[in-house]
Amino acid sequence: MMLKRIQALLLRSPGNIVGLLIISGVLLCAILADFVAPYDPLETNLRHRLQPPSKVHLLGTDSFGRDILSRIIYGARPSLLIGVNAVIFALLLGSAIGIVAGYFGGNYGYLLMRIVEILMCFPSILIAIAIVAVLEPGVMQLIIAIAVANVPSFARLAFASTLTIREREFVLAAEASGSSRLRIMVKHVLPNIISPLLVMGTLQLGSAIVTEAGLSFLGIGIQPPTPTWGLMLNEGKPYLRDAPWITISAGGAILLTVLGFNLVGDGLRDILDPRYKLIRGG
Amino acid sequence: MIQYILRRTLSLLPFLLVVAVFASTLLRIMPGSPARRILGEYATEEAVAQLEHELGLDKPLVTQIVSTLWNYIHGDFGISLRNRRPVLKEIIDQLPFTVELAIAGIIVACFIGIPAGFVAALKPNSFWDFLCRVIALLGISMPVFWLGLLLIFGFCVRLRWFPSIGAGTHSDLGDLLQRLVLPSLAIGANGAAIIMRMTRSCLLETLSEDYIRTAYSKGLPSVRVYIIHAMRNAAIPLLTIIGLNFGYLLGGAVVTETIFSRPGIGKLIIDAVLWRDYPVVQGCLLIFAIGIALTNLLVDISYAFLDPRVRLE
Repeated sequence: MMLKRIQALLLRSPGNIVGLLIISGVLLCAILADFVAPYDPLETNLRHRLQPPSKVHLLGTDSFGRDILSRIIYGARPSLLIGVNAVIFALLLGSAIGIVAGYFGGNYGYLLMRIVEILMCFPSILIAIAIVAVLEPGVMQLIIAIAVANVPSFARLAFASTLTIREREFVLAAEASGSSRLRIMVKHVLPNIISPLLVMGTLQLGSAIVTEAGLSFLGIGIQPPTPTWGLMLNEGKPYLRDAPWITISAGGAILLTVLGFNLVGDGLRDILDPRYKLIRGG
Repeated sequence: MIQYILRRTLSLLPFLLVVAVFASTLLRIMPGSPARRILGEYATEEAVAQLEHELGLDKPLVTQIVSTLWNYIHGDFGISLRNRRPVLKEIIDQLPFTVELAIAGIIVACFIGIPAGFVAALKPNSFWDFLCRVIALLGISMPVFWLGLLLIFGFCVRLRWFPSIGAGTHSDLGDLLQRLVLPSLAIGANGAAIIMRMTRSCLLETLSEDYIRTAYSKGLPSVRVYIIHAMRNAAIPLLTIIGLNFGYLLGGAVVTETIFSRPGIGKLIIDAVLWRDYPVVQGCLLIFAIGIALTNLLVDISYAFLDPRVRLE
């Protein structure tokens, strides 16, 4: 019921519809890459290197003669895979830390949150760089690095929301009826604080994708020849003068995807938290 | 006031301590032997053992943390594995370039963000408001590294208005500033979008307060009401965002410096990660932490200046 209502409200604003369309497009590209991509993204053809956009290669080719459009379509896979997994991991871990610290409170709870706040001051890309520095580059390591970098924001939000729920009657009633603490946290606290966490998750997805692209761009993320948007930007940089289409298309793909998640995230926030609607005038 | 500043300064110590402990245990988190990874698989056992000794990895964890913290307090950040220079010296050489970039970025962000937010808040839901919000949304979604590359393409490759790489020297101020324009635009765009959104929402909230109505009804001109009454009250949350942004800006510096081939702490840390020069990585993390801590302190002190209630807390 609630889901239907959210769906109906989301579809009311043109911004949200555009966001949903973008996300669906990227998702479809990632799932159907094998059928949608016109060429093999790894197939090199030195005779066709650095070709500008044409009817044969819609977005041109790179320095190895690989088709840019195909690489962008396949590039949606690692971006979404790493972004979505990192955010889910961060959401689970961050919410667990926040709920436990908020529900039990006390000195340990506040100490835990102090550490979380300290980590929050640090830009997430720096935390991710520090973690990638000690782990070998790879998909799993990137997911861990980006997830850990995003844990503090979720933990803080979950902590603040739990504090407001903890003293409510239904939680006290559950305590009085003898429910275990774990059950209260999972069955009573979590469902009541999940909506702001989901909104934050949607917004963080965009930033997780940018962080992954940034790390790959810097050469410490996914390694070649895997097609990823960040890596394509890195490879296109030396050819900025002669083949700007590599850089423009790869960056455009990142911008569009992040824009999609931000549009939907903003829309969800307007629906789930009416205060923002007033302020944003939307 | 002095007591307030002292109290705020002391409250930063736990922050620096946590980061220092994190930095000193960084190598311990690594799976396998860090010394072996730095030297490669063909290194002899003796070389590995010697490097482990040099990095303090042969000592128990607690001893290692305590001695590293002791060294940090004494300004000893270790020796770079890459060029055998003291890490602190490396950092001090690069620091001015990053500070310049960060300050220029914040200036760009404020100069674009605050007026745009102001215009949007004056006429909510007008065409200008809509335009500012669309640009802000694009600014927030724009990856710093892509914007940097686009700026190089547009202004260096096509128009040839600016040099695309390097940071210039401190003896030639004109050249230095010219080379700062594009990187600071790239790094500040994201912040400008966030500051614009925040200015707009804070001003909208303040403009609906009773004291604004009172100010109008006693006949004050609009400009005075906006600047003196509304803007000053909207300034506190705005400052928080600007302060927080400084941290993100430092994160942006890492990529921006690489794109524009500028020297700086960001470039230093990335090179150190690629070369597995861990003492430099640790030192850079600590310097970033000190930078963020000092910014937070500055923001806290400005609160006290802007809002007398803060001082009395």
